[in-house]
Amino acid sequence: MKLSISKGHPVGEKVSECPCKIKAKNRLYNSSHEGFRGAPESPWLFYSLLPDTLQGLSEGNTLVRRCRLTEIYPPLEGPVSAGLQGGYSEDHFIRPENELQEILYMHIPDGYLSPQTCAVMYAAVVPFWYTAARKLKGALTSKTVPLLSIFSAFSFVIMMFNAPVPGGTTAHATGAVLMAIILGPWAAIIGVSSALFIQALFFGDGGILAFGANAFNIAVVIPLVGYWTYRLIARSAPMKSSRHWMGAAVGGYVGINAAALLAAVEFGLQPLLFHTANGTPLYCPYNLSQAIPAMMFAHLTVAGLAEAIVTAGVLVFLKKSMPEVLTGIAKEARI
Amino acid sequence: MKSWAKLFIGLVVLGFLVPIGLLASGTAWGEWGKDAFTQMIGYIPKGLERFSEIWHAPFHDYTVSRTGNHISYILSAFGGMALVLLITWGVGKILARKNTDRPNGK
Repeated sequence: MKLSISKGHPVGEKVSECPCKIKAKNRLYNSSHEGFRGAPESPWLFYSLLPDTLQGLSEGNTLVRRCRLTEIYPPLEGPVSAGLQGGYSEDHFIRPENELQEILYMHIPDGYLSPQTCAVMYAAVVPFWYTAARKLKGALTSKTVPLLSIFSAFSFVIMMFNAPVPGGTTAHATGAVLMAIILGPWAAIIGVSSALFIQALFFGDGGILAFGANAFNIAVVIPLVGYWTYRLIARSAPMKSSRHWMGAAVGGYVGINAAALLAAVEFGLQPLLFHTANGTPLYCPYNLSQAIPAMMFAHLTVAGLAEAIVTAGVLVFLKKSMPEVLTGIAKEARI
Repeated sequence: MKSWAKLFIGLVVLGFLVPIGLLASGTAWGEWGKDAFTQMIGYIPKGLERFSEIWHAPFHDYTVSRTGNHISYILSAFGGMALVLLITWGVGKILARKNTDRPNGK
């Protein structure tokens, strides 16, 4: 957690009580205060947001909050403590450099995108669903339906394995590129969309209004971009060639990052397009220059790597222990 | 053993391993969300507040009531996988049935 605090003008205000309950690493939160500490054993410094914090909404590429130091816990001993506890308070500008990631995820919840954006994204994804259904209709057989189901369920469960991203957020692989390589990108569109649908409907992971956007980003962009990248590298090399696992790894990495960028653009356009008369954002409040770095940091590092490992790892595993999935069945299943 | 049966066993193993995915976050995700906006920018955007609770998922954040964190997550994994298997099986069967006149594909 990087924090840069710059001093504002001193304001005289009494220290308030802070019955904080939620602990999160080096932060403590409650409804009105926020505590930080530099090291695990150092005291907590509590800041409260000032009511006019809106005016400090953004400065350059970082969010800026105007805060006031209100409490130190546990109280410091000696003269320093006396000064601080005796009504010492100051305005501070706090720049949370990594915190945005904790709010922006690949699975877009309802409310972050305007209903108009959601409608556009539904309109964008429907042709892909339609085409995918038509392609599958011409290729699915009773032999490949179980594989479609199993790889869709794999996509669902692999998304539950959250990996830590520096700064406190998490990221996960999607299994979408793997499915595209084994069963073809059109099967992956149907399969991953199904997994996303169950996540949204039953587990609140991704919104219902935003389902079109999530399906487009995760179930269409990841499989198509990932698969094309894989084909570009693997070309027509024999199955034992290392081009396949390398192509799978790069395909996974590129696919998930393409989707992250698209999601970031969808987030970042909201404050530009949808705001009140005085410019206050109605939906996602982060502009492009905030949303893109926040999303891309998590995906260029951890999520991209996770997708690359899952895609190449499972492909290599299947090639070694169950080659029939890749050769016999896949040949007729790949669309 | 058929290859899909072997893959199915792999899914069951993964289902029991999902608590590994909780190590990274530690806390439930629900604690972030709308409160985090108040913390970060001092207000909750109006439209966001209005639409964010348009749908109440029965097992929000993979939480099954009256069970612990890890058990919840495992139950969610198996329930979710079962639902995904069901829905894709259904879609697959419908699409494959229309394909019976062309059993060899394409």
